[in-house]
Amino acid sequence: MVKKFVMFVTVICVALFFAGVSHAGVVKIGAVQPLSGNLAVYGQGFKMAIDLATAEINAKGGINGKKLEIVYEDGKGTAKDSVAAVRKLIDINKVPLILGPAASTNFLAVAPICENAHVVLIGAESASPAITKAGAYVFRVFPSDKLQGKGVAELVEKLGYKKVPVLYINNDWGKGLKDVFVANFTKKGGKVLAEIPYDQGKTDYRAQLLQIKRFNPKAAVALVYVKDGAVIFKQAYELGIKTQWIAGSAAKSGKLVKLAGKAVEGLTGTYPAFSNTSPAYKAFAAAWKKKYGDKKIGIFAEYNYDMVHLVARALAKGGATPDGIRKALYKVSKGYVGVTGDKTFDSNGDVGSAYGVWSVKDGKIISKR
Amino acid sequence: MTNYFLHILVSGEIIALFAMGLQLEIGETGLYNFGHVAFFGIGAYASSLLSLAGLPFLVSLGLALLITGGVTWLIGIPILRLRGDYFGLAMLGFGEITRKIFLNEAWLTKGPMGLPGIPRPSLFGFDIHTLPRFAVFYGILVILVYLMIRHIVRSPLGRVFTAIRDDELSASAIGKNTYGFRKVCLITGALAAGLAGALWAHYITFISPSDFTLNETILALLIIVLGGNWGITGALVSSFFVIGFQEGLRFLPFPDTFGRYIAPVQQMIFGLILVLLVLNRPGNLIKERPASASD
Repeated sequence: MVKKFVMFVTVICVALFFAGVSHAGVVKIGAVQPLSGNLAVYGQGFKMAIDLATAEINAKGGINGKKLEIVYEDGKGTAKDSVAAVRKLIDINKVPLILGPAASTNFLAVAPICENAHVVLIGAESASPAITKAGAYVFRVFPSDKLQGKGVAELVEKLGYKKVPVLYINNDWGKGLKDVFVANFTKKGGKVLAEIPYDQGKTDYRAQLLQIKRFNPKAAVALVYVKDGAVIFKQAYELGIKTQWIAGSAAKSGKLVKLAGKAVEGLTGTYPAFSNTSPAYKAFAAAWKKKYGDKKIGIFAEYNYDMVHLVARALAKGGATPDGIRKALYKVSKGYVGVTGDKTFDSNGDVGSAYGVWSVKDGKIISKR
Repeated sequence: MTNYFLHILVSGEIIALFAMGLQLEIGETGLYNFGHVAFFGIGAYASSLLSLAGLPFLVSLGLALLITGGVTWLIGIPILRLRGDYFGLAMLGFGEITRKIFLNEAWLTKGPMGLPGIPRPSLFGFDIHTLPRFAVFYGILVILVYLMIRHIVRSPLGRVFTAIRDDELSASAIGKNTYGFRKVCLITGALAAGLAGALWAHYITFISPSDFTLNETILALLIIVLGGNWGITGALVSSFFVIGFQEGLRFLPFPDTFGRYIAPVQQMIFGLILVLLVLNRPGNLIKERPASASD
């Protein structure tokens, strides 16, 4: 036992020694992604997009002639492991910038550490409105839910509905979006009949749906994910709830239509829109296809791709120090139009976004900008 | 470089407090508490909410421990009437219920959004804001709790706990109020977990309900099984070993494509260790060495 332990420690020490060796001519930045655990499905896609952008940057001469290198750490999709991973990147790898973890709760857990250590943290997936105030070193290229909540409220108003109940998934995304929606919708003179949370991953949502049925509303807002959304819309159909369902961005997926079939016919919703006919998008899609073949472009891959390109520009302009990057990020983002549109940071390190409308017609998703 | 090791040390210290509480309950008294994480969460939320409301660190920590103890006392009334596996299952349920309360009582806990900006500890004007200070302060608390629990285990009270674990009927036959003693044990263990939770919250400065899942209890279970016959000392040592092992994996040169399997493989290794331990040394959790060889 003792012998094995000594061997184990030796292996770690040797590994540490090599980890500390840095090569001249390389600019290192860190990335904490959910490479394993329950978000691993997404993490792999984020990593592929980041790798694609990095390869492009290095093919074009890197950062002022130096190679860009990403040090990946596994956040395992939990706050505890994301924090450990960020600590390691800051103290062992001494990176000036970290591409932050997915899921707003993990992102918010690591934000104070980066802020205190004066290391730039930038995210491509976290939508929580709380991140806006997370600190001077915290950025994100993904629009805040504040914008989307407003978008949903505007859509409901535009469709002419005055009274709606809201059904939402009880996590940081659903609740954040619901709060913004309710505030905006009431401000416009609309009335929210009921706010009904539900837990993810159940097989029966009839209790919540019956609450909606009681109001017999003309329209209802459902801020749902794909899998539970499919169950909800199917059971609503079975219960004979005839209403115009209005959803957020997370339900916009061909899989939902496949799972729920005609129960989602006519469903509509909003999503952070970017043109998929712009030259930038076409170039991205072609590059993806060239590197990964027929593998589908992962969720939020476009945001990750834009993020790395922005970071590379900031590194080239401001140098590889946190304060240099922080200042340069504001400058290089000004007017920068990436795959996902205009990425100009406001003073909080947030970006704006246009919102489009999607709906299901004849079993297909139709998006309008 | 040192900061990262200090972070592992601090994580180990927090987990050690958590696991030592569970060791007292399961290892010494035979209370199969599968909802230990509930006390961790109650301590974390209570202390965070109180200090976010403006109370000084020591006051909110003290009140958080009172609340944890009070809640344990209350739920102990019905749950401690159950024995063995029934007790374990009821506690498992209690753990889940607590997490649901954190998730759904949004007026108090902000629900799934979590609590950001929890103040860092400060003792009479002395701020604990840097990692070395955290490591030392939390380390002192770990040593204090360790000495306290060790003292309990070696005292006459500890012998009653052992008697209850080995044969509850006999213990009550010689006039021991086993219900009362089990309650004392549960509350002591819960206090250690509540302290760990509060310290975790003030260290990370952000908590959300997803931090308090069954996984944490399972980690502590693994730690005390690894600790085996060494009792409370074993729990202390193996806490640092397990946390070190988890973090050590980061430095092993796994190929990129293998990355996504590291966490599952780690769980499998832990599972394998558990199975091997139970197969080779049955009775680790339940029986002790004969008294003559004891410390």
